Amino acid sequence: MAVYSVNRRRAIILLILSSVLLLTLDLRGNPLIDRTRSAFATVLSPFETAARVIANPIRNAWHGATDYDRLKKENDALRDQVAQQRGNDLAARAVVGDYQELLTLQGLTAAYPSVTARVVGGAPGNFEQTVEIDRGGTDGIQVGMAVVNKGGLIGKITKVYDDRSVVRLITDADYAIECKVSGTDPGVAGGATTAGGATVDGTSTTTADTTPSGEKVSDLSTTTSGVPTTTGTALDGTPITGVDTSTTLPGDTTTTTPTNTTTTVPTTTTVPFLVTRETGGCIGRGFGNLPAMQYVTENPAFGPIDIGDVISTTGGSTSLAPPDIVIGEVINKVERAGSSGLLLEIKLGADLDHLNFVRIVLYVPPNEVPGAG
Amino acid sequence: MERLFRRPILRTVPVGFMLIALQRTVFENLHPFGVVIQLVLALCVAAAIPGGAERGAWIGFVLGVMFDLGNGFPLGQHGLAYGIAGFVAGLVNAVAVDPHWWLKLIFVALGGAVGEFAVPIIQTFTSDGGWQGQRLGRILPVIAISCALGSFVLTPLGRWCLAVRKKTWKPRRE
Repeated sequence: MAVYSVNRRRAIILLILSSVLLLTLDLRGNPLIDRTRSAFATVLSPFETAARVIANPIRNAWHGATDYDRLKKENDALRDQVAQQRGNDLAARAVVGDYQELLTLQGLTAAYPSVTARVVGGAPGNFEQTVEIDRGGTDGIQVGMAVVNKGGLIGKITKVYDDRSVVRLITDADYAIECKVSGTDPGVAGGATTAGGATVDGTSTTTADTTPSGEKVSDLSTTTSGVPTTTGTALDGTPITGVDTSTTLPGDTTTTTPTNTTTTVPTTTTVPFLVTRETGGCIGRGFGNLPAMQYVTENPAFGPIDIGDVISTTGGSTSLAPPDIVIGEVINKVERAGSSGLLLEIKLGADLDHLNFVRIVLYVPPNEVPGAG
Repeated sequence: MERLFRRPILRTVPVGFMLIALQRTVFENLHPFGVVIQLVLALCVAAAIPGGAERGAWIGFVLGVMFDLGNGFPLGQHGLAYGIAGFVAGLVNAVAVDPHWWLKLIFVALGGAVGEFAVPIIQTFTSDGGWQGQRLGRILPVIAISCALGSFVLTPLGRWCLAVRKKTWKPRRE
């Protein structure tokens, strides 16, 4: 009855060696293990279908029992919030929402094909932050592709099966992506000014904070139609095409050529113009911690980084996500000792606790496109 | 034929499929105290009580590898963690010939906690994110208690998986 008998010692050694062997084979990438994994998923599928039939009533009963109070509180809080926000100018406070809207209008994210998927499962363990979606390799999804929803970046694809995929959320400690922080230019108070109204691609929108007379822009509306072509030059010299480049920054040149009928309410509106302050790396930091942007040094030439500045993806030849997908806004600046630099804690634009439908951007980094060198 | 069906591997694998399917559908939505209950781990430690440390390690390894395959984790990560859990739970047979029910519960809870604790430790070596066990103070007690409670149902199932007969003490005839 000795605790450390020979058999036991042999069993534990065998266990450790087998596990280490499997881990080594899998982490180095082994096609046999990948095939086994796919076969396992196929076999598991009918079991899961049956389990879902059992799961639904249990899940409903559980949520009915445990979530009632929380939902009621949340509902009350939301009613308060709606009451508080009624009459306010949402655009002035929701910087991230504005930026996302502008990006969408510019067609920056819409420039890439995407697949909409439904979130069908959460993380099976306590130490990962992943969700499972109901689209897979047959829909063109590949490992590494960015996943977004209306709020912004959610994560990236880490496993792809034929009809499902696993998404590692941006808050997971294993997540990292290149990003940039952008803020409004202090040299242009309140952002760029457009006289005669903004030009928006075929949609009706309100894009301003205030008028010269101090009126709230929510009381006014800038309605346009048509397909405008706007070109401009940003501070860093990069050419921009899109909507919000019709700015009057010092040294900038801007021309606007409407190619279709444009109806404009004659108001002077202010559009926040975002200037890139710094690039760095966004990392997830696990449960209970906000994701953060690191490798940041405040450069006076580009202005100070403020709370509320927008953080978005940089893109580039090696980045897994296309440029200018909103991640969130700076909620806290942490000064770190030594050469570690600044750490910017990020309030995500997307609500990761209530994911239902997501969009997978079918974007492959240029250096991974076959034949791209 | 009957002997074939008594082989533990042929019993454990189908049960493993069912439990993983339940884990991925039912239990991943139920988060008592914010913790995902680990059904597969609970079976590993429950089966180790009648099976002993060696067989506990074996069933833990098999179910853990299946769990890794089904959930896209690095292969062997949960195999090792659950194997250790089964081994620790099975040690109850080394400290008592016929352990009391409460002693079994303690070892099941201990095995469950050790198994769950092993996951972030192994992840530290297999992933890029470093130490990920920030919430262990909350996770481990919940997992330990859930394993202990689940063992009332899962121990007979584990005994069947391992094809272990229940101990019966016959009085010695003079």
